[in-house]
Amino acid sequence: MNYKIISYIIGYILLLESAFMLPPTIISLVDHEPCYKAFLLTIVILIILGALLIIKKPKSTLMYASEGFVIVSLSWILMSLFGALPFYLSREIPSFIDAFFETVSGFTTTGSSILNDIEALPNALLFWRSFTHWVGGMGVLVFMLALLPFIGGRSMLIMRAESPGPSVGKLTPKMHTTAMILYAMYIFLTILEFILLLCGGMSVFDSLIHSFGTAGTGGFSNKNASIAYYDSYYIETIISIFMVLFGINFNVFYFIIVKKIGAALRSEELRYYLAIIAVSIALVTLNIHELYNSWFTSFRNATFQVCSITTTTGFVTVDANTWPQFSKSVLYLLMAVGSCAGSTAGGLKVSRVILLVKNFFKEIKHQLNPHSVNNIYYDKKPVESEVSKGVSIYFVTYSLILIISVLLVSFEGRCFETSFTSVLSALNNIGPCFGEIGTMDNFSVFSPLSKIVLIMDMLIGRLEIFPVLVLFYPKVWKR
Amino acid sequence: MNIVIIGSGKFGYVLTEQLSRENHNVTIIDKNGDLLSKLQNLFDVRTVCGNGACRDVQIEAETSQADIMIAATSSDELNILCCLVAKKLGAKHTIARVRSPEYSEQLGWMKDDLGLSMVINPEFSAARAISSIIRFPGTIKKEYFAKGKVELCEFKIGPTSKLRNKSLIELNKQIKQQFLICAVERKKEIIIPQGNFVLNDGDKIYVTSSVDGMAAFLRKFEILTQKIRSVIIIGGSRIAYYLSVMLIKLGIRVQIIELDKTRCIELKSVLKNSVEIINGDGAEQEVLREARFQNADAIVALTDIDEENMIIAMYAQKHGIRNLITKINRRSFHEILQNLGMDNIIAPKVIASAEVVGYVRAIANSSRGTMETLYKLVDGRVEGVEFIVPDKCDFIGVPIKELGIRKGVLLSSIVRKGHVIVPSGENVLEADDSILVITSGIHVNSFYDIFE
Repeated sequence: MNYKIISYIIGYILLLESAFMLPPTIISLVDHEPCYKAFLLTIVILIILGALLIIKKPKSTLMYASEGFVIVSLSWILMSLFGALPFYLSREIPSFIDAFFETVSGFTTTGSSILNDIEALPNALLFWRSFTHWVGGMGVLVFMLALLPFIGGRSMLIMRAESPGPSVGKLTPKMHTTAMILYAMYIFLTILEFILLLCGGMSVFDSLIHSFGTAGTGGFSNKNASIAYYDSYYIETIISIFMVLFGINFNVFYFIIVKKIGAALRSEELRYYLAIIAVSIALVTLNIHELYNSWFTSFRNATFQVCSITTTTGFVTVDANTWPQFSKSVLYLLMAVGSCAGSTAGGLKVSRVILLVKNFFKEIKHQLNPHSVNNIYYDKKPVESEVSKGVSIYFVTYSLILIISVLLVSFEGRCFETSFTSVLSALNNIGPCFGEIGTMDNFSVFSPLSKIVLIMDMLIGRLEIFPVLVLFYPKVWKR
Repeated sequence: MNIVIIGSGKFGYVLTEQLSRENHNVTIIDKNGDLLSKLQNLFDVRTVCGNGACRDVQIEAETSQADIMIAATSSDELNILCCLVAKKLGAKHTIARVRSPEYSEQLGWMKDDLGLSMVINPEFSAARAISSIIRFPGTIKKEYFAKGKVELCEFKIGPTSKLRNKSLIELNKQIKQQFLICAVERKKEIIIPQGNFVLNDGDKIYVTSSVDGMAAFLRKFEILTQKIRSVIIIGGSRIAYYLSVMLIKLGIRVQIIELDKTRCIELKSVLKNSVEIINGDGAEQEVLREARFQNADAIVALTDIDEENMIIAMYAQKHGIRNLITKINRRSFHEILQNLGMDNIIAPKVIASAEVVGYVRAIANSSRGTMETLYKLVDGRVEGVEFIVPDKCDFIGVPIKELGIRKGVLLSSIVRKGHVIVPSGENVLEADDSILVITSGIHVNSFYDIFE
């Protein structure tokens, strides 16, 4: 294993993180909040460590799949550990496990919080919390690839490990250009939402916070009541639209930019994604009508909640825990499916689900007629067996992790719905939980063991399992 | 530049490696998705899976924006078709690999009428390289620049060489003609030597001079030991065919040993009585002895299997044959052979890809300070590049020692109005001079890259 290139890249990531911490530090200084000391100290630590690691450029930049995975998972873990320091050192979150939980929840764009009173936190920390969503959404390694093109040929190994989806491709021949284009589109959409939210009457700070939360499909708000605080149909609509937009494969946006609109709209994943959202909204509206008695209110709440859960964002306008079981079950299903590959959202990804279902039908045909040869098609092209196999194995691994995590979390004795949905929420990077803990409550009541399990699940979910699992495989570490 | 390569086989691989390293935007088309993923993991390129001759696939690969389209599949016909489609879609230059001797006669027509910018025949290029080694034994490789006026020779200093333990200044005093030792490879390191550099046994040196100067140099230091009069080629491949034709013209006796009877008959019908064809397994000692291989001046191992070529060469070396040329495709084997003292290794794919890369570089810089030819030595670590000095540039009229030429770059010869000048620090550059520059480790793409 090329340890030198791994530590070299991690050094750059730490330095990048220290740069990301500058905005919240400035905010804390402007607002005269005492937490500025925590930020400055963390920045200094990051700079020193980062500089030490990048002093010697490694002679060999040879990397293989294992290095790609390890770089991604190690950087994310270290980034989260150091990112937790501002919370911990400023004593705003006294327990380190809680601080780590909150930071991991930020970077992995989950949005689960252990904070009892979000609004009590100083603005700088609230900003940092939501900024981690923005950075983690499109990916910090992708950001690095956009800025620093030194990795050269093997950069695909890193991008593939961090970007979600069954088969990751490039927009342009060079990785550097692809990463820059992705971030350009990302920044553009974020700013667009920011402006529209401002028009809706939100303060500058709030608009920024919620744009970050939407862009990364994370879900952290700076209000305890989340979006319910604003009670504005306009704000809910804007956020819903942008949540759905950020759940779309960014390749589609690129096609639109280069004027291949036909190719963009013909994307199978996009069609199924929008169909799933439409159908779910319809079903849930019908189902919760008995609760709200007004078609408009039912539609309004159903739309927001479905969009929020499908895109794995996690903003809430009402406590969906009070909804009838059918709607809740629809929501659980949406949690597992998630949004499109190549977006900032989590979940299994619509493209994987489509492939799994198509595989299923192909298998039935095969069982009925063992000698027949069948093929499945995606976007009119035949699917390679490698991709098919990969998707099936991913699903099996995902389910195993789900089961084991639920087992571990249920150790503390909560009801099944709670244990199950908390793990589902973490693994798919959604945010809210159901059961004993409603969608507007927080995770502070969980035991430390459960919190650790959920932290692992959040990382496993965001990095799509294998980069994290690889860390536990002893052969990877042998010289 | 935007480059599209169709075909990710061995040739496509070597091209991709070279071109992506030179920072071009490379897209590869191939039918085999697995090969494509492997390439995408290794190089910063984009891949498109599909049949390169299909218009839709080429559109997906954005061929219309391509500056160069290189068709490197294993089928000549497919390559030509791909180039036609690409040309229609708007690719600026198209290069096709066409190896079959049947098409080699109509190459001129293909380029003019079908719009192909360049045709690569790796086998023909390899045969040419082998033929130049055979014409000048004792040297490892030879290349010509400035329309044949300047020669660059590569050869190894052996234990009995007259060049051993002499410094460059001493050598310059011994001979009237001017020459320049522009690079030395010692223990895998490349050195651009100064005057006080002393040559050792085992060094590989690269010498430039005019044609006459080179002949004098070779004579004085007794490097040209023997003339090769007979050659045995083992393996009746396409390279063997092209090579035989070239060698016959030089009056050299050629024997080909080929295992497949049908192929032997084919070769006999095209080569007729000028070449002796033997049907047998060239790796078998009995067959070689029957062909009286120990009397041959040179053995060329051209079978399809690298390992067999290696064994044949080693066996021949054991029996005292000093001029051995081996075709080895796998790069990892080159080092093994070099350690065994067999330096004449021909890698057709590398030779062909060097031609393509040279062409690509020339196109990339067709506006300023044009590059004429590119020659790669030592596995690509040393390059010889030829330029024409443009009119009206700041570097004209300045003494060379004041020009600020980059480290690792050596100006090794100037051809002015047909005369070859081996430059010292006092010479100046004039417009329209054809200069030959030797570089180690630095890519020199245009004339201005030579200077700081």
